[in-house]
This record gives sequence, C-alpha cells and structure tokens, in this order.
Amino acid sequence: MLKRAIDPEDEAQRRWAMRGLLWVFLFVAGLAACVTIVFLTMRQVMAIGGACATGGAYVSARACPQAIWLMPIAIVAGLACIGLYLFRRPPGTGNIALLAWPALFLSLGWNFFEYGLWPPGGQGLAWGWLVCAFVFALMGGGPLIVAASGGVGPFFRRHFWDDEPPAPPPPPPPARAPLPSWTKDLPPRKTSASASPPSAAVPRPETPAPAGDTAPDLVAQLERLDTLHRSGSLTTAEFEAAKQRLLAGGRG
Amino acid sequence: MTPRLRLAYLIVHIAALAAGIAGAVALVRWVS
Repeated sequence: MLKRAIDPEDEAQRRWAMRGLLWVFLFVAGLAACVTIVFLTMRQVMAIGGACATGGAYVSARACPQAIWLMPIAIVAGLACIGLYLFRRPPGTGNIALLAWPALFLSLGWNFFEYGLWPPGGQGLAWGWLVCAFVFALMGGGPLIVAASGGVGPFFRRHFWDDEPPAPPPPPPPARAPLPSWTKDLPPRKTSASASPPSAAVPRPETPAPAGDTAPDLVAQLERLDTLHRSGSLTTAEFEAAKQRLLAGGRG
Repeated sequence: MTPRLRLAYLIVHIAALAAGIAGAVALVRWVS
C-alpha cells in the first residue's frame, strides 16, 4: 500500500484554512443576522410611528416593541463580527465585509422609503422619512456604484474571488538606437562584462546579420571584441587586427 | 489557496448569509 508523503507545513496550512471555514461561517452568519435584526426592529419601531419609549419614571405614550432590545446588541455584535471576520479571513477567499455598509444603509433606507410613502396611520407622504431615504440611498448605493463602475463582473472577481488585481504586462524594453558613426573614435566603455572573470566572457556563436542592419551589429561585434581583449582572450595585436577587419568589412 | 478551497469559501459565504438572515428573522419573530 502506497502512502503519500505529506509536507507538515502544507498540512498545517490546510488545517488552518479548514478551520477558517468554520470561523468565516460564524462571522458572516453573525454579520448577516445583525444587519437583519437592525432592519426588522427598525421596521417595528416605524410601524408604530417611528418613536417609542420603554422604562423610566414616566408613562410612555408608545411602548417599544418587545424585540427592540435586540437592536443595540445587534449593532455592537455586527461591528465585532466584521472585525473578527477581517482578522480571521484567509486572503484570496473573498471579502464580504465590503458589502456590510451598502447592505446596512440600503436596507434601512428602504424602511424610510416604504414608510415615507405609506406612513402608519396617516395620509399623504412623510417627507422627513423620504429625505432620510434619499440620504441613506446615497450613503449605501453611492460607494457601491463607484466600486462597480468598472463593471459588475470585474468588481466581484476583484473583491470576492481575487484579492489582488492581475498585474499589468511589463512594458516592452526600449529599442536601442544605433550609435552614431563618431562613437567609434571614443575609448571603449567599461561594462560589467569586462569586470567578470575570463570564463564568463566566452563568445557566442556568430550569427549572420540581417541585411540592412549592419551598423548595430558592427557596434556589438566591436564591443564583444573589446570584452575579449580585456579579459585576456585576445592579445593586443590580435585585437587590433580583428578590429581593423571588422571596420573594413563594416565600411564595405 | 487552491481553487477547490476558494470554492469552499465561496459556498460557505453564501450559506452563512442565508443562515444568518433566516436565524435573525426567526429570532425577532420568536422574541416578538
């Protein structure tokens, strides 16, 4: 029976990612539950006129719904869930916390919109709530529209599938212009190749130059000749003779 | 992060959203 070799480091990473599944489920479910609780309890308050009071020394005209105590807990717990989710979420697994802001403000804005159009027990429009609906729609939908302005598909891929956008292709290397003819009278450049040991300066096999491209090839051959001379592979006499041959051939 | 694990995280995100919303609705109804 064959046993597959398991790298301990890979195994630890796999276990960490598998445990992350459980934490991500808990925090995302908690965040969704908290936003939903805030949405539902707000609706309960708006259904009785938008204001309520419970407890204290006075007799309140409108008692709060029974589930209202869930709202402050949900606000704090929702913030905690976002923080813990961002802390525990492995990179590259999507980031749903970015949707928490639009989800909260668009859902609460919908409550203002619905009860602004059909206020409880009243006739006409509740303009104060409609203004709130407009402001909440701007706060929740504005960032969403800006973020998705490049297209819904790239937005979701960037934020919910890949953390990093794909790197742009590297720019093409700048084309080397042929050196002017007067540069052949200058002393040779000191290149990094000249400082390397002689074994590194092995000449490559000569390739025939394409027609009409003799000037850059001549310069390259002169530079290679100079490198060989500096590395000691060619004596000064051999170097001079080869250079003269090259120059004569280049003119011809 | 292998593609299979990323798919698992995507499914867990969706399942968690559904579970959280359903749980919150049930909780608010039960408390009310």
